Amino acid sequence: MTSRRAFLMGLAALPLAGCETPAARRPADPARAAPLGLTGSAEARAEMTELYRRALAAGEEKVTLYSCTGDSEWQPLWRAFQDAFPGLTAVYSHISPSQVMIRIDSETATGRRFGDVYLPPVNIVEDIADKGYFLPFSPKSVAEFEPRWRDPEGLVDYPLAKAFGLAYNTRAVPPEAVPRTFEDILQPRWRKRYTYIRPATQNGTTDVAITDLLHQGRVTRAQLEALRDKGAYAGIEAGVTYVSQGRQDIQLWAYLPTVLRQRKLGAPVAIVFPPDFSTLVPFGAAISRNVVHPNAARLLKAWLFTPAAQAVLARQVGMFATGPGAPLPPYMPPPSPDAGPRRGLSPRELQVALAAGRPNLKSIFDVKVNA
Amino acid sequence: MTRVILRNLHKHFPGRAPGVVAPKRGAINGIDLEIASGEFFVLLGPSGCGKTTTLRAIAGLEEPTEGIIQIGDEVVADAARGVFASPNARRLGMMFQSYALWPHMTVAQNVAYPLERRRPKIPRAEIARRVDEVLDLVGLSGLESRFPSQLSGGQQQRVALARALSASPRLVLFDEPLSNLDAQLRFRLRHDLRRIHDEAGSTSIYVTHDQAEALALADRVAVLNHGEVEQLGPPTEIFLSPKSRFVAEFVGYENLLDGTLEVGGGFRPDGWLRPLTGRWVAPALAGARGCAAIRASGLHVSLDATEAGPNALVGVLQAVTYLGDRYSARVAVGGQVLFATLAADRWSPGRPVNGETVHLWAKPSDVVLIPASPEPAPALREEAA
Amino acid sequence: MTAPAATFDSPLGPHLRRLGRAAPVRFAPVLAVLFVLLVWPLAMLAVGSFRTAAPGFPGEWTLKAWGSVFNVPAVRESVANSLTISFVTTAAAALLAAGLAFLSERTDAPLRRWITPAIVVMFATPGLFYAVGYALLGNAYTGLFNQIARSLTGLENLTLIDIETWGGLLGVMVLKKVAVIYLFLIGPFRALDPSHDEASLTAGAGTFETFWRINLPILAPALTGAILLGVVTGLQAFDMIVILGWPQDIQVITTRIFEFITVAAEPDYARASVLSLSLLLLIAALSFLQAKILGTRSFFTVGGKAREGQRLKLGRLRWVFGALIGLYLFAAAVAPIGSVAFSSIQPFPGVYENLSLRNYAEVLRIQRVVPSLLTTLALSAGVGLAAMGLAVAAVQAGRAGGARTAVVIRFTTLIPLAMPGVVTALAIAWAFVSTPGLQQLYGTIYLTGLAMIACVMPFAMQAAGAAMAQISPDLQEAARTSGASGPRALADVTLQLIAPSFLTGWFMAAILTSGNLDVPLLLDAPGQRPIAAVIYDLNNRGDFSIACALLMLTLLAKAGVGLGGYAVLKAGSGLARRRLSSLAKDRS
Repeated sequence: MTSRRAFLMGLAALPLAGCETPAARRPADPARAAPLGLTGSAEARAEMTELYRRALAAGEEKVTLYSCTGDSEWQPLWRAFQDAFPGLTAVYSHISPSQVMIRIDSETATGRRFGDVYLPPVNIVEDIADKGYFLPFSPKSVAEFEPRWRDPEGLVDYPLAKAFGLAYNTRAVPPEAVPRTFEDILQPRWRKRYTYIRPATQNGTTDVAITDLLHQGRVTRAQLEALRDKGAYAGIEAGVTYVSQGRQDIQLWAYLPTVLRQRKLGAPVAIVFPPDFSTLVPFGAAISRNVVHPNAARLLKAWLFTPAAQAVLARQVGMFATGPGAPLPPYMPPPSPDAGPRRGLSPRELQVALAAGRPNLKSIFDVKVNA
Repeated sequence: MTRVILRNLHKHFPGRAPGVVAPKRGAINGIDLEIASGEFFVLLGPSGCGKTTTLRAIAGLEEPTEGIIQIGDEVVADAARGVFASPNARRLGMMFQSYALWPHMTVAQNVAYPLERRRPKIPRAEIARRVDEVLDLVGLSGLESRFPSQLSGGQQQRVALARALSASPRLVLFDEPLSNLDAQLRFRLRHDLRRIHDEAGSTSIYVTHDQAEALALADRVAVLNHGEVEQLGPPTEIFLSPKSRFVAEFVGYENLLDGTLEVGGGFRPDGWLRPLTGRWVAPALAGARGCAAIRASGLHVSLDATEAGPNALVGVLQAVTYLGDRYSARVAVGGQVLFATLAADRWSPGRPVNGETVHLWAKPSDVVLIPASPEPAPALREEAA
Repeated sequence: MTAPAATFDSPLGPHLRRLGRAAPVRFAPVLAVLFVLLVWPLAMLAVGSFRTAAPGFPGEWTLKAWGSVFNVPAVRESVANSLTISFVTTAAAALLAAGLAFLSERTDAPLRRWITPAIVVMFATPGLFYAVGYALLGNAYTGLFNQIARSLTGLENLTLIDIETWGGLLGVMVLKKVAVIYLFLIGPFRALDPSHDEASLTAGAGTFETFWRINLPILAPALTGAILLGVVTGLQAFDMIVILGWPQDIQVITTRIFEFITVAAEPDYARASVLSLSLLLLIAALSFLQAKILGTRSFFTVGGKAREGQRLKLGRLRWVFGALIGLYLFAAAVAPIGSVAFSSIQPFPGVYENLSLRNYAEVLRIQRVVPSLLTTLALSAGVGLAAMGLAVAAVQAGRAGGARTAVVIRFTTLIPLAMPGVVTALAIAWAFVSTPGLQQLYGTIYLTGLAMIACVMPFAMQAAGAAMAQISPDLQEAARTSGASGPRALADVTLQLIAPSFLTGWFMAAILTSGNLDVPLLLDAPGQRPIAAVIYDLNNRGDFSIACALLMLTLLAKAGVGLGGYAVLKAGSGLARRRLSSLAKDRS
């Protein structure tokens, strides 16, 4: 009887044999399934192996993750995850920062649950945490991270930060002429020739950067007002594109992966990281209280903090990986003793400073809408 | 002087599928006509005979493939020389089968439209006066500010007529303008049309498939068949002396008997033993094929042999229909069925028919003898049946 | 013969009350669906404007949004911009569209046969990528057109066209809007009774006088309807303005609403709701105005047997018009699509080395692209079919249910017109989230589909109305008197006769749905992101070339489906014609 059923199942699986889908590579025996190429401490590896086996045993096949970065950018990361844990698929949903709360609210209200892991930027992570939407889970893999990236309660840990620097058009601006300070950029030469992501919006990049700079005392309100009057706003990726196209000479706090991609395609764009115009926007990983795939979700969170995942993040995705000894993303210089973004506020300090500084930023940059 | 001359007029329509050579409905194949100034000329024929195409070619709505059209002294179309005057340059009035009243304009605006188009410009007051006059002429005074959709069919028809006439065109074209009306209205408007034509003094060309209209209106009639003129003449001639079986059939001869001209001048329908005496519409030789056409009104039925006249026949009564002032009788003669008239006092409504033997007779002047036309028109026989 | 064949003022025109009064009961399900899909979300939107939080979530009642929103100078500025853009582009587009429809349907101008196919292609091209195409073609920096001009003249700083200006934005919007208006006018133009023209010509009027004095006024209901639509779509415009208006910081009502919801630090739903509702009121007022102006004058046209060969002869001018048509076709269809096609083989805009098809291979390698194409195909086909089916039922309900029902249905189905897609999606989300039972649909592809049905409903209604208007109620009544039940008569006669129009409407609705971006941005089901959103993501990241490659692939897919559909339609229309003639035989 059983042999006959196995035979039939084998027949049914035949058409799939040629496909490289994770489901097809699903290990037959969850209890003895082993992840491939695990890195990190022994405890961390043991924890992940256990989570992987439990996920398989519970019939979990996928883990759904919400974040706000372009789908294809993450591809190398999900591929690495799926390679490490055969039988599990990472389903990514790109939800903009402003929409993610509606989404979580609605899932909670309707009881229709989808999201397992959230990976929101530092500027909204607190709002979500405040509503009690996170489950605590401190993976073993995060133990060796600097304390600033770790959460004692295990709600939000920070495996990565998006890296932003100054992008410039190499045809319009010779490397030696690239402005490096507020004083430089406010010269008449750059008037209406530079863009940056609009502050006081849900896209918190510039907010983070300016909050950090204000905290360090590197910029004054007058300089910010001058910055507002002499420059233009652009979207996170549009700005880099405008520089690549030659519409603008410079994008301040420009998103590194976009520069990498367009540069690779032959666009005349390059990036540098002067302290005034560079920043890191930390992204926190958290398990949803509505989690549908509890084991796979924990596994994904744990895995993000492994050396392997950190290396993929830095080298292939172009993110700043927060792990100890993780490689730097391309073009990013090693930390200087001087200042640099990584000497700035920790995520938790940033959250507080962002909330406190928002009215101030609004009063500078959001003139039209809130007048 | 607004005479209209058509010379060797052709209009072919490209076939839909390549390689189709069959003539299309409505094509015209060499029409020559001279229509006199002030004449009321009727183009008569079944649908598809090319009469509407001819009219539209005169209007400038179709460009002839070949031939010349002259209105007054002006050649408005000459295919060979590439002359083709657009419709608006031809100074004519036209009445459409659908009336084509512009739904967004009032009666007065519709009627004033051709006047406003005239160059040199006609003063407004003059236009208004003329509109009043024309509406009065067609009996529509007081309806100036109505929209076409608020009018009855007869009223719409009058507006269309008024519009066709308002600018005193030298030539008025009518494309079956009465065909959408009921019989009574048609009868009244027919008379109005002729009266108005006489008062207006313009040349009129009128297209119809209704022989009664042609009879009532026309100075002359051209019967069209397959895009050619089959017969041309005053209505009396068309109706009394049809030159072909097709014309006879089309103008309402109910009884058509094919046969042969015998030596001695008699005409013997096929299968009959006795010849008929009649009136030849064209000379014919003994032995020639031909056709005897007799209207039901000219073929009398007697129940009694003594009352029979010339061309007497014996037949069996099959059916009788009351027509008000007389009866129409269906009589079997030999193997054929003939339609004849039974006088009002010889029968009574509702009387059953019991296969009575009856006698038929016709005056020789009512028996029209037509020499065979070279080609019969099979399509039309179908339509008449 | 003067039987009314079509009215243009309303798809629900003159044939009200002809099938008796029991209709409302029979059509109750239709009305219920319309209510859930269109009215309930609107109600939620209204509720949202009085609350500090989204409906269904804890919050307080407040009037603050209503009081404050129009005091903001930026909002007032964007309202003014919206009105300017809307009216200017509509006026220009209506003139162009009417002229093109006239040239295409009523004259012998050369190239006229290309107009309709080209415009269908333009219509099928989503506005976002139309804008991208022009941006790539006519921006002052890497714009292909300008770069060609520069390399031809050798002038380094030559800029012939700058599309990212007020003028450029308006121009591109006009070109796109012509497509919408043209497609709404083409039916009425085809149905024009040629004898009306001929009567005018024989009355002494020239070709163009006839157009102005006869054709145009007769088309007034259709034209005002199309103009109203143009104004409404102008007020709704979003994607073009986002892309082409950025350099000038041109903001309109919709971008402001979008900003309130997504860009501002905290989503301001209340003010977004207020703006949306104001837009709806404005559009309602315009509809009312149109009805008022046209009043009782519903123009019937005689059953259009437009015979070929009765086109107006333009004479020597025909070459002038042919050239104008050619210019338009180039500007409106060839240039933007060519620009996208060229960009799809470029590594990056402005880079002219290494041209290759690599982008196509690259885009297919992205993990989600193929499933996303399939999702989009299924979603578009399903939404198009459902929307057209619902629209036919709604038109039928309007015909049968009396004047009041008709007005209610008409207004109801116009609701989404007044709402930018983002707002529709939001309103639908709120409506479904706050309603027990309907909650189960949240996060599924079905909710995405329902929101898309709502978005495409005004179009479907117009298509269904136009299709149904061709069918005289007599035909259906003849079936009724022959013993068929109402639905039976609908199925046996009307549906079969409108099959070609129905299929066309279905296709168009599917095309519109496949290009819908606003809904999936807010409501996509995890892992089932429609292709438009994928393209948007790519474009947003500056991966223009890959986005263009994907755009070309979807255009080809649409063209394939369209051609296949056209073949079906051809076969179908032959069938319908045979049915019609056999019906005519039965009746005689």
